[in-house]
Amino acid sequence: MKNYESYTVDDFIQDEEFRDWVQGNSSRESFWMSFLQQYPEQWEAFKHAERFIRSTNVPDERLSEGEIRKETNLFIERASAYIPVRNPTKIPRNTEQPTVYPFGSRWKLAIAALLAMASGISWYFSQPDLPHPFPQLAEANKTQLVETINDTQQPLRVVLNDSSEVLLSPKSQLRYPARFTGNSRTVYLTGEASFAVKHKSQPFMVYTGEMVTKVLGTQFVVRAFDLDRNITVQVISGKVSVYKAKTKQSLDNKEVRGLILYANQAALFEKTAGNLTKTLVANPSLLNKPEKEASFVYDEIPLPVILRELETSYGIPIQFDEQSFTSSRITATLSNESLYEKLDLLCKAASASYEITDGQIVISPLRVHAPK
Amino acid sequence: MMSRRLPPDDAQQLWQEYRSGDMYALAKIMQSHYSDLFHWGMRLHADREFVKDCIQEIFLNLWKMQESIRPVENVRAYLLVVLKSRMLRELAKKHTAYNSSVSDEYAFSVEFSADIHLIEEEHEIYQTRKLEYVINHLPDRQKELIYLRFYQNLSFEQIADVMHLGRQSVYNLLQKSLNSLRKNWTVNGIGLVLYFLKEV
Repeated sequence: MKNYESYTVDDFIQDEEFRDWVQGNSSRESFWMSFLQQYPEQWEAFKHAERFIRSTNVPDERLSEGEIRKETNLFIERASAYIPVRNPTKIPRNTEQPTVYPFGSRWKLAIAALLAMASGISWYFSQPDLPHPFPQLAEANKTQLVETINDTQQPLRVVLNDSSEVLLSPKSQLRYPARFTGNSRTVYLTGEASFAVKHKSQPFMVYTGEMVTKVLGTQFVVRAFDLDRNITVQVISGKVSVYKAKTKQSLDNKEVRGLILYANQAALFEKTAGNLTKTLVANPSLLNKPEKEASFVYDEIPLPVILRELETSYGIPIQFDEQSFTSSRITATLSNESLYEKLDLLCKAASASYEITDGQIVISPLRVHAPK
Repeated sequence: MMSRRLPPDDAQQLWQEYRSGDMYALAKIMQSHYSDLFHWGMRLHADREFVKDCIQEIFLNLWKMQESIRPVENVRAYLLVVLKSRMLRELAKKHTAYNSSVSDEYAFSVEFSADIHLIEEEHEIYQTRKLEYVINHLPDRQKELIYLRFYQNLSFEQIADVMHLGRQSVYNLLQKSLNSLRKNWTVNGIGLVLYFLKEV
């Protein structure tokens, strides 16, 4: 108990509780409010001290929570480039010669290629408790992340601890644990990289900003530079799933709101709206590239047969009503055209039109307006 | 804003986590001390973007140099010290007028503005305004001391650290402030003998 009877002006001023009360932050509001009733002889000292504390007030700077958050995010962005390395022997950075990646010839297995354009990675902090934007990152920190930045002009090959290979594109950064432990293999990417992932029971996950790409197949490419508003994931072949990196809970939950993408499908993640939708890649490619140039030679072939063949070749589901098109027979030679050009030609010949819905191609007959 | 300050123990905990390699602990330290650091920086040089840049730089340096950063007694006081030396160094680079070797000749500008919005009696407002006037006419170093004590709420030792002064020098400065306040009060007829800051 403080000896308030003998308090001087000075004692009041130096009393933190008293200061807090004058400044309107007291947890003992009623005590100080009734103080002078309790110690009426202290009126003079109390008033002087109160006056003094009020006089030393300085107006706050105009600085919004938003500005502070922005500065904090900027710091995280910049500090991320300096993940401290405590085990230098593990850093592949600049220790390996950049090798040009023989993409087509070397990777003969199903290639899942995934392109993710990620806009500025941003973390939102909320008062009073600052959540970890990446729950996994906090965990991974314990097992220590190794960071590799490719500041060369050529792709840089990085071999992970599980023998998976990563080809890191220029101006890209990969962070990964020196040793994968636990139930998943998690890496963090800014920029672009191709992954050849060893098949194991632990899922392989690539974090790019607010989106997670979980590998279900074997090989893929992730692209996630910081500039765009949208994150897009394009799968050339193979199988990956994509979902939002919101909470740890949602990751453990089986029913995460995500998409499974097959060859030539793409996911578009709009950062502002937070929507994740499925579509097709800009230029679908053939799954099994034949030794020679692929060509489709058709002589009076029913359209459904051709569509099924395209479906298999590109691995994209094509929806149409068989009966509407059995009578459409096509004679054509298709080779170098893109999938969309092929579809244009076929649809023109068969008086049909196509649209892309939910990562599939839907073909329907044109509604011909019969002349009166 | 005082009530939003992180309790020193929590700041200590975060400091430990940061030193063991948690970048987000450092980010939280930055976020929770940002207002105070910014306010302090603006007193030293009133250029918002410059102050923001300096705050970015000191935290980035803390992150890069984490291996060599030691435990600190008070995180907030430490950050105020670091920001001040950073700013004075940058200003010395920018303006030849600033000489970094004369570290006690930096500018410090604070405008005390009495918080009177809850006072109803006119006489009381008048008295408080007078006191505000007197304090605002103290020399810079003394105002800095009052600012650090009553706005930043630092202890005696912490003020000595931030002002790059020895204990005794801070004490002498306090006595000086005190004497001029007493003299001014008498002259202005406030009639208040305030032995404030006798023992910070």
